[in-house]
Amino acid sequence: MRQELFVARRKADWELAEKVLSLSGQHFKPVAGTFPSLFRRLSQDLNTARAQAYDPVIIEKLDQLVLACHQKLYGTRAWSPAGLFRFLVSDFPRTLRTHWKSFAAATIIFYGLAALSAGLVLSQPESAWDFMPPSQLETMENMYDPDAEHFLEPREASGDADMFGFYIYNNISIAFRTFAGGVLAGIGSLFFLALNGVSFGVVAGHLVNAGFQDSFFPFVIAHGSFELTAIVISAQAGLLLGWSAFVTRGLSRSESFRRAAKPALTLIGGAAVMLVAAAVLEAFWSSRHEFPLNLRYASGAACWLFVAAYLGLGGRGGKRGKAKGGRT
Amino acid sequence: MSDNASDRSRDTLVAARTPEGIEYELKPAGLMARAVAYLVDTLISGAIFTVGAMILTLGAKITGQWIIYLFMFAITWFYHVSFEVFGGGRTPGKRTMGLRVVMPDGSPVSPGASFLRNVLRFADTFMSLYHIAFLTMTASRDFRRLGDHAAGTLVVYARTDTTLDRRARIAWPDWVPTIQPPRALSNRERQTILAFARRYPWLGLLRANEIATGYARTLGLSDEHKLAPSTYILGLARFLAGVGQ
Repeated sequence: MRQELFVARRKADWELAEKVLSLSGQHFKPVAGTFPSLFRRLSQDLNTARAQAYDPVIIEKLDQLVLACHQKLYGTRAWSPAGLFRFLVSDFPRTLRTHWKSFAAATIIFYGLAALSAGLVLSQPESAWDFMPPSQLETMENMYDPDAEHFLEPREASGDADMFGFYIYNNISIAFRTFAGGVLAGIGSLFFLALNGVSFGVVAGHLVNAGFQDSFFPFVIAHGSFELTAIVISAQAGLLLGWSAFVTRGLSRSESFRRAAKPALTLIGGAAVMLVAAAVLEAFWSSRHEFPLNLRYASGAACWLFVAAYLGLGGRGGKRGKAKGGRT
Repeated sequence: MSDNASDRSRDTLVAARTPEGIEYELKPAGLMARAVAYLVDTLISGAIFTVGAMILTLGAKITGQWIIYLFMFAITWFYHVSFEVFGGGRTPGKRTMGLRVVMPDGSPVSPGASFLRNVLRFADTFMSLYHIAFLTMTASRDFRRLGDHAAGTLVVYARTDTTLDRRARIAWPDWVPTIQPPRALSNRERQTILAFARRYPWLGLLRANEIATGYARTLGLSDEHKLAPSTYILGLARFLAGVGQ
């Protein structure tokens, strides 16, 4: 078929496709049944135009139409609460266990540095000032000083909610940055992980030196279970990405990246959910210093047990070998 | 088609295959188009951020400040993601530049991939100014920054406007004879001739003849035809397109 005849005959379908593409929602429904066959006719036109070497502009136009139709045809995605539930209950902990080595590495780095710096500050109290500016240490002392004003009366309910919003914004942003930094050969993740580990250790050591341990530890123990673990996991996800840039196992670097990104995405998603839980605890439970110490320590221990059980056992007993992303 | 395959090795086109076994071409967008799109998005998200924060601050006495933090969080991390997922791969900036984020097979970008490529923006813009994105984009054939590599996404040209429609019909001058090609033409030659016919009205006669002279000879123009080179090629184009038969 010559070009002009081809255009004259097929133009109607192309215009129809453009019209259908502009429809959405309710308006699209009546024509949805005929859309796949229209898509196939357009694809055939594209192949014809190419095979007959028609005018490049016509081919380009058909190319764009096929792309747009393809997007429309595959544009609807199934989403279900069951999928989210499965992600939380089994996919996330399974992926974490599949990649236990990187988790162990991140854990050792974080808690190792925290313990080292805490030990240093405990044995040489003045070294705290080498790590942090005096103003920051003073703020910390104020926050956990049992004699400070804000400890005398309970915070207002609106204050709790405000802190919740702040923890979401601040902590999840930190987790995302820690993760994203990992794509730069893992350096970004290591940096943020080390920074957080050292400052946690220094603050803990310094507050113990100041004698505030009974206001500090009951405060951090409960939400720390979720928060510290989530920070470690987000660094782990970043390290997976960074690692894949070096160890490609015969794949192209880009492909190696893409494969590592799958479990990394699961991990950072899970870490974000854990941080939401941590924010709830931190805002609405941790600051309840009017409750007895024993209860607060016990609830904190329960939180740690829960996190350990969740990550260690979640998704076990199901079908084996279905962890998302597989082993890398 | 061999012609297209060799085009791809020189050009930046990417072949996409649908599950139906159809192959079509994606045109990855280069640095400048994407930089402009990003600039537009930065301005728009900045405006949303400012206006939204102002309104929420006014209402903070009733609602509390937590809503401001959640709003800041959403804009910071999910401005691009929400537009890409719910807007067919197009943020407002990409829309102005005629760009779209797609998976390598041309299907819509998945929420997970969109989140990945946008959260990794932090690394691509590390220490400001996007220089890591700049390096990785220029180092890859299809202009992928780190986020695109990890998410397996492409940013491609996807025009849905009507400029192509306006150009879709070739003006065929009546005074040009229809000329049968003296030999079989390859696909590449046929497309070159048709492309010439399309551009003819904008070229001007002198320039058209200048371009056509050498090529018309190789296509069999001789003095016996008593035709200008451009007219000869237009005649071939008429034959190829099936005009006046």
